[in-house]
Amino acid sequence: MSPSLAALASSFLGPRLGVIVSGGAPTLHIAAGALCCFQEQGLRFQAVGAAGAGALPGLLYLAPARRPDNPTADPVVALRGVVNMNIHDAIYDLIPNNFKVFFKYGPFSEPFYHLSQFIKRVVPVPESYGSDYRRLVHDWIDFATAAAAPTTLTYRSPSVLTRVQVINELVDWDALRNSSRDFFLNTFNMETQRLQPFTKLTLTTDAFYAALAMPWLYPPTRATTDGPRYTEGASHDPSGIETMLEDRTPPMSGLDAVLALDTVPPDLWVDPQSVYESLELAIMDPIVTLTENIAALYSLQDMVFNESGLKIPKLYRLPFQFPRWEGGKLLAWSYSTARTLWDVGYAAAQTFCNDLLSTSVSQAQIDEKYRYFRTLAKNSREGDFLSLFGDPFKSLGNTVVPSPGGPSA
Amino acid sequence: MAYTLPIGIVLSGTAPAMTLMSGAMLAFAEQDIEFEVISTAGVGGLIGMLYLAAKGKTREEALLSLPDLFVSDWIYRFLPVNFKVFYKYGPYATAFYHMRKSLPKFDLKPGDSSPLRRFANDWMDLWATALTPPSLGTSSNALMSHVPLIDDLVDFNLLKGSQTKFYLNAFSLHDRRLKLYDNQTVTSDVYNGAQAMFMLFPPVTAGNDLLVTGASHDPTALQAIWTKQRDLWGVLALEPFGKHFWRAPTGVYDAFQLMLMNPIASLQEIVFGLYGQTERLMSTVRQAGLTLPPLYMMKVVLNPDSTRLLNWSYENAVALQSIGKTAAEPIADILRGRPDRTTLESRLASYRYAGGLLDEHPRPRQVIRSIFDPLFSNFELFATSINTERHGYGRGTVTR
Repeated sequence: MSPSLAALASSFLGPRLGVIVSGGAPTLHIAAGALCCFQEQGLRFQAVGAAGAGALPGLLYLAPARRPDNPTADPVVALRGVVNMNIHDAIYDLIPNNFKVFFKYGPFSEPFYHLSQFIKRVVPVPESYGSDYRRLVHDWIDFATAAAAPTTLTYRSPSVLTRVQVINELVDWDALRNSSRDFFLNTFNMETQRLQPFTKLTLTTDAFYAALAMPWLYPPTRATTDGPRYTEGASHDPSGIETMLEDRTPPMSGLDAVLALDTVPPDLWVDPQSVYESLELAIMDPIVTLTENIAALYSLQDMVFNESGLKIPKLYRLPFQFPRWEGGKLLAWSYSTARTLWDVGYAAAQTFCNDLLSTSVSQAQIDEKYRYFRTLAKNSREGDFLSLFGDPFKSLGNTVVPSPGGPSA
Repeated sequence: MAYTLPIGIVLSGTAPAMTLMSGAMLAFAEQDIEFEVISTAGVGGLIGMLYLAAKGKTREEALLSLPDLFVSDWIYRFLPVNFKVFYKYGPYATAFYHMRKSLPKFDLKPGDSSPLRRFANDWMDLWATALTPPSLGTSSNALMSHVPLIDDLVDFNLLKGSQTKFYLNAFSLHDRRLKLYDNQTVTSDVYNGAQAMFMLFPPVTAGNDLLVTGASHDPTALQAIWTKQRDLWGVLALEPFGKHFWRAPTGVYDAFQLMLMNPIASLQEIVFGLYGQTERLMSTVRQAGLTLPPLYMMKVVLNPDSTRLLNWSYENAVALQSIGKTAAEPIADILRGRPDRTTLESRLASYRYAGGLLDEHPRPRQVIRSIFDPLFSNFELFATSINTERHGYGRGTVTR
């Protein structure tokens, strides 16, 4: 815990700081790593906004459940455990599918999931074998039970997967409701054809699954018995920005600034090596573009109106640096990929904290490196989109010369 | 007599809208309308090129023939897949494509439904597809292969000589940016790259680049307008289809297509909405140099239900073509009168997207009125701020 970090964040970014966790499967591990680091460093966010897969790390950050492996409901332990959702590489290399997250369509997946949990409890792997071997055995048990589970999938089925209520084992809903901090998760209301946020007060197990009801994977889902059906909000605003920063519904939560955990970077766009990878790319392709467009335009709006006196939450960005050789693996559900992504998120947050703690850093240097719009370039996808409004990059003003002791490059 | 006004049209990248767009362009073809600009994304590129450079046919014949790419209803009822457009992935796809063309078939004139003869023709195509050997490799990176279909439909030399500026967008995997190809640079490889949606088709090498579809990045095809053609008098578009994709699925196959279309439709709705609202407000800003062509939208009424957009049968294709034609006819009639600019603006006013049809699209309205409310409520301040020298927020100015 570093009290000075919180004070510095308050000074540089604003007293009330929010964080946004965008949608997209790789985000899950990146965000978990980043939020874990922030939690360890004592940087506290007043609100969390999430879309799609970003919901889980956001909830684990605010309200993890007590479990045998996390008896004190410590967010750090919960966020470190997210990587265990992925599959041991020895299995994933043969069967590139996450059968621990995606369950076959039909009523048998739930009992077979519980059978798997039961087997793992009654047939423990000795500690002396090490965690890697234990993971291999446990994942193999999960695979065997998932493979044995019958499916009732037909051409007329509304989706290819079934929900298994694992979220209740991970999140403490009462703790979330009683939290002093805010939580927003976007979803798409099929009746109103509008994006709608669930808050910490309205989020339930059903609402959570409704907000993650991606078509084809899951059917449109109701949050309440007679309520409207929802699909995943991440297909409409994967950035999550809209959900937290709407100025009408919900009321803006009085934030001074928001830190957006970066979306999947250009490393995503590669020549796919398999149909499975190309399927994931087909899903992610427009989602990343949507995220970039919404975030870029909001960041420009932020620059204009905060300078002219109309205060809106400032938007900051936590960029991630991926090893170039990992570019083609970002969408894999293997354990090694999860660790890579998690470490990338953690390292980015660590750098951010170090920059804030630097004794010689200035406001201009922090803005230069992290203020969202300042991270954009004219000759970029975002620059192409923003040229719709004219030329926001035309000026020669606001020149910043970071000192050698400033934020790391 | 050809009639050219500084008017453009955008043809979007959503494959299900292919026949709707062909119908709209038919309405303009019948009035002999020449556009200053046709900007396209994805399969909109095919419609635009058929309008400008159909191979061995008039534009009307080429557009009317488009439903021939769809499947006989008698077959589609049992096998709801368009095997006439999507060719099985493998090294022999092109060879079998040529073999299919050489099979004896009934000659069907454009618009000739003849269910029995159409069934016979498509039945042979179906068997040719079934017998096409799949890839022998252990893995493939797409489900379908490109075949030289576009070379049979479009005369690229004719396109080069067209007076109408033509744009087709594609996404470069090298630069990781959207690229705009024009009359002079579009080739069959570029076209195939512009159709290469991940999973359906593999990326395509075109020149020194590796391309996939631009429709996942700008399905509206408006980027060419705001980056290269801001001096147009106006730009036409078919109403976006978000509400028809944001619905409950009827089955797994339908759900799969909805999954693919959901974010693309969202992107399309939002960009159309932002563009429409921006151009309307920009016309009120007095700063010199700030212009954007007004966006006029052709309203599409999809009866009887939304699911037909994802139906690839011949009968449905003909019906959608008729719907598209009906949507465009009122505007084609206005253009037929060769009005001057003032008259044109006056007669098209009710088709202006912002302040009109945009109000019937909840999602873009929500974006405009909530998260971007400061921007659009204070547009003059926003527009002048970002376009004035004394401001400037970009990092292009940073020195290290």
